[in-house]
Amino acid sequence: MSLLEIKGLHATVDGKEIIRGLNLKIQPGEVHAIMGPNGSGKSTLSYVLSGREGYEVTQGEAWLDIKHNLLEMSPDERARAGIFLGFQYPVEIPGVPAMTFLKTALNAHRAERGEDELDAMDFLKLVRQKAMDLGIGDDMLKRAVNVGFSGGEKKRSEILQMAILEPRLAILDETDSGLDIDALRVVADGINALRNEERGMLVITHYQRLLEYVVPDYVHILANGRIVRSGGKELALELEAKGYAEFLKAA
Amino acid sequence: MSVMETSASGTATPPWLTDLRARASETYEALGWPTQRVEDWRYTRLPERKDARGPGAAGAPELGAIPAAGANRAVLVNGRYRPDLSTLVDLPSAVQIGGLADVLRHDPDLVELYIGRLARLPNMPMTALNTSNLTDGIFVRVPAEYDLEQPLHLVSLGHGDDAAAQHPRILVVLEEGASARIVEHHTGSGSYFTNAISEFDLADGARLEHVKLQLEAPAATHVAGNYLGLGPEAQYEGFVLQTGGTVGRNEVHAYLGSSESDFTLNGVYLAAGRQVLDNTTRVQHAAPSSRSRQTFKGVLNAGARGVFQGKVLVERDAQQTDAHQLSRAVLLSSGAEVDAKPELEIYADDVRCSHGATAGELDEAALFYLESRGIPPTTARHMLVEGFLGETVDEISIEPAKDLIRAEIRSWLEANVDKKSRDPA
Repeated sequence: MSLLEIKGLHATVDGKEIIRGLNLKIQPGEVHAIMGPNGSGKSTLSYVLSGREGYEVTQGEAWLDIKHNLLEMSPDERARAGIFLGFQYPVEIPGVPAMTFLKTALNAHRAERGEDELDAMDFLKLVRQKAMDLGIGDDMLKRAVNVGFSGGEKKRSEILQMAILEPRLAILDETDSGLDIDALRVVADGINALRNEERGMLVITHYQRLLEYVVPDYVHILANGRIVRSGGKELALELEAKGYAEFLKAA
Repeated sequence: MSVMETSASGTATPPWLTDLRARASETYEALGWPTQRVEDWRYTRLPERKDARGPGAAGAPELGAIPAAGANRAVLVNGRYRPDLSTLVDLPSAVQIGGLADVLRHDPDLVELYIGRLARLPNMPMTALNTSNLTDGIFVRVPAEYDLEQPLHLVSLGHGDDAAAQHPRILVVLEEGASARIVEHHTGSGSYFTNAISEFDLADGARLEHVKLQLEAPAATHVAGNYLGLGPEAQYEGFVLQTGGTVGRNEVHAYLGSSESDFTLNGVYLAAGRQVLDNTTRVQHAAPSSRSRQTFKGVLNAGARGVFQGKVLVERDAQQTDAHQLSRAVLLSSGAEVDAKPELEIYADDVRCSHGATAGELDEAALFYLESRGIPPTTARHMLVEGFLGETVDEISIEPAKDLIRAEIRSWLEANVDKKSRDPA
């Protein structure tokens, strides 16, 4: 049973076709990496799957857990069905306290599952515990969403949200960008802690560096809106050695 | 003791008051009802109610529905002071709070000292109209060095139909070093017309925290002038919420005529449907080293219109003036509109002044970010609007008023902002 199945996906942005016939299957528990040069459609794929406005699907299908027809759902419905997008550039939202944001998001998920809202004390305990694991202090939680966060803090905050929302499928878009080696380790540890037999991950990255820490089961090379080659984790090393040019010729 | 004459109703009217009303009446007749041909009123058409003179329908207003914003409450109904509805407890005898008519009867000389000193008539037709009708209102005087810690809730209720006009009048005097917290709350039921004037006289070192709530009935019209005079080192910290009425205009005229005074005025307005909400402010720096800060934030939906006219005047002698004003608006619908006119007029050469105005939609990237976490679009929009207003509301120091304002914002959002904003019908 596939956790995610993408069939013959085509998508345009501003009338320009960016995804051109993409197929992908992810089984529960698997971590897939998508690598590709700039402009290959990596970020577009993440937005198409999460439902961002302006990314128009012209052909194809995407199913989550067989039953959820993703492309017919709104972004919030997809999220509550279990899609989580870790943003390359997490958005700063002045005036909206981080804790209010986390609580509203978690309670929306709980309501979807028919569970009661978490009370303030239990919520605080949950957030504090998960935040501690990621080295996120109370001072960060007291601020407005992502406001005044450094690059590393923003990415840690993304992983914290993922840890709290416990998605079925996490799409991590260039999570390694802008991180120094220490921050990368913390973020990777956070991601690895969330790997389990049920959850799938789609790790989108330009460089092989992140994959040394978050070791994927499969690696796909995306070029010109299509997967041009798939393989095991060794494919990332091959790519690192040869560069993208070799694979682009094949596309 | 001044010589009294007796009016038809049997109450004594001091001659100065008869004279003041006559001058006000003449001024109003000369200026006429404001139209958009007058620069001050260019952006706001005030529905003509000049024939609406009568007091609105009597009857028991629904006071129970009005949340308390302080232990002490003084109530006006259609501009008349109602001791039966007012609750004034735990006040030392030196603090004077009550009906203006009563003070006019017992101590007219005291009223004469202050009334109309700040709310000047020239060029102000609505102020003149209010003054020509001056008979009652609320009078507050806090003696020197006294700190009236408990917030004072001044409620003005309007009732009646299109023929009903009320001219509420509030006079607040803070003597040297006195301080007070006042919540001025305008509400009611029907399609009445409110033309309110409030005067706040702050002597040396006095300090006033003032929240004005314009929560008039949806079909009502509200025009108000808040006049402030700040003595040396006096401090004013004000906040205006406007969300009631079909047309609402709140004017604030601050005269910073002494050095080292400090004036802060923030505001929030929420408009939907075809509402027009106007905030017009005029801050006059007339002495050295005074400071003014203004931030107004508007949220406009459907075919609503917001107006911000802010004028800061810095006179020649007002060196080292530090003045800032900012107008920000969020337009939730393509039919909504805001006219912002921040203005600086500076005659001194050593000052720090700035102004700015922004208007735009909710941030789409932020909306998507919230939705991508499972937050429904309507909730996401509410969170962003509350976030936009949040830091301004957080600055309010009168806690019960802050709670009341937050609740008003929330219920306005519930009633007016859904998944996609509506375009005007």
